Amino acid sequence: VIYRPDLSVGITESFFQHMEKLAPRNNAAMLIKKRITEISIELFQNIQRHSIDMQSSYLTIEKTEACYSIKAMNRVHAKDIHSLANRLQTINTLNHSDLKRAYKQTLRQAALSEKGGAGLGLYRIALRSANQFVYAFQKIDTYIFSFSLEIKLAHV
Amino acid sequence: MKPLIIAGTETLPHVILDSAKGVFEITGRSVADDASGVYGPVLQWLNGYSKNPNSTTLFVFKLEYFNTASSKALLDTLSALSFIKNSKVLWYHHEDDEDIKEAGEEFFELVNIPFEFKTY
Repeated sequence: VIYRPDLSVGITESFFQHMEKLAPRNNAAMLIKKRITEISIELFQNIQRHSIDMQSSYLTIEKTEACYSIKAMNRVHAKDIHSLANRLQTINTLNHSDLKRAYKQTLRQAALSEKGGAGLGLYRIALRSANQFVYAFQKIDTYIFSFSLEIKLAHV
Repeated sequence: MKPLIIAGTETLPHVILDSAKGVFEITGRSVADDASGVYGPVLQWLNGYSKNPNSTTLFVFKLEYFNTASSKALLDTLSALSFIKNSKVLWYHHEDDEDIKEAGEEFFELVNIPFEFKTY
């Protein structure tokens, strides 16, 4: 099962209906389905906020035999990839309790300083997936790179 | 005080703040990227209500989903509520949804207001 939402229209009821189809209807799968939905929403909105152009961006949510896989692809400015890679690399080194601590600290500071939500989103994604980020940057030209990020979740 | 009622959508929560009826609740989904259209008026209403609140204020949060942009807005709402005397949060979560319960516990650690956790 694979679903590729239309990034140009935002989150719609159709999005939630597609997410419903990804996991069986039982209580054990409910939490996984919710986590996939939450992660997808954060990635969806990260793309909408940060992508250079929507035409070359996509998000796919796939149920494979091994796991659920959520892939996001978008183009970013070359000047931004160093800080983004550092952030992803740092989050990948954190265990669950460190992630929770970092999330709460960022939430507290963000509420005070009205900063953007991107930092919170990556922490939330890492907490919900319980797996490391798989990411890559591919050079398009001197100024633009293609950024891909894959999040995996185990089946129930 | 005039009630604040905001109809929920597929991405924004349903809000009822009605001091005459003693109903204070935010329910549904809160996943819109820009939730200020909802939480701005909520904060404004709470600011007015705080000047002459009811003897007790039981504020219900019953959210199915909320994104991280809403997390910040919810924290602001809870912070505003914490300044209202005799206020308390009723934080609902589905009995199988440990993530929403945990999110409530995180908020509880960040604001100075009593929480009661309830399942549905």
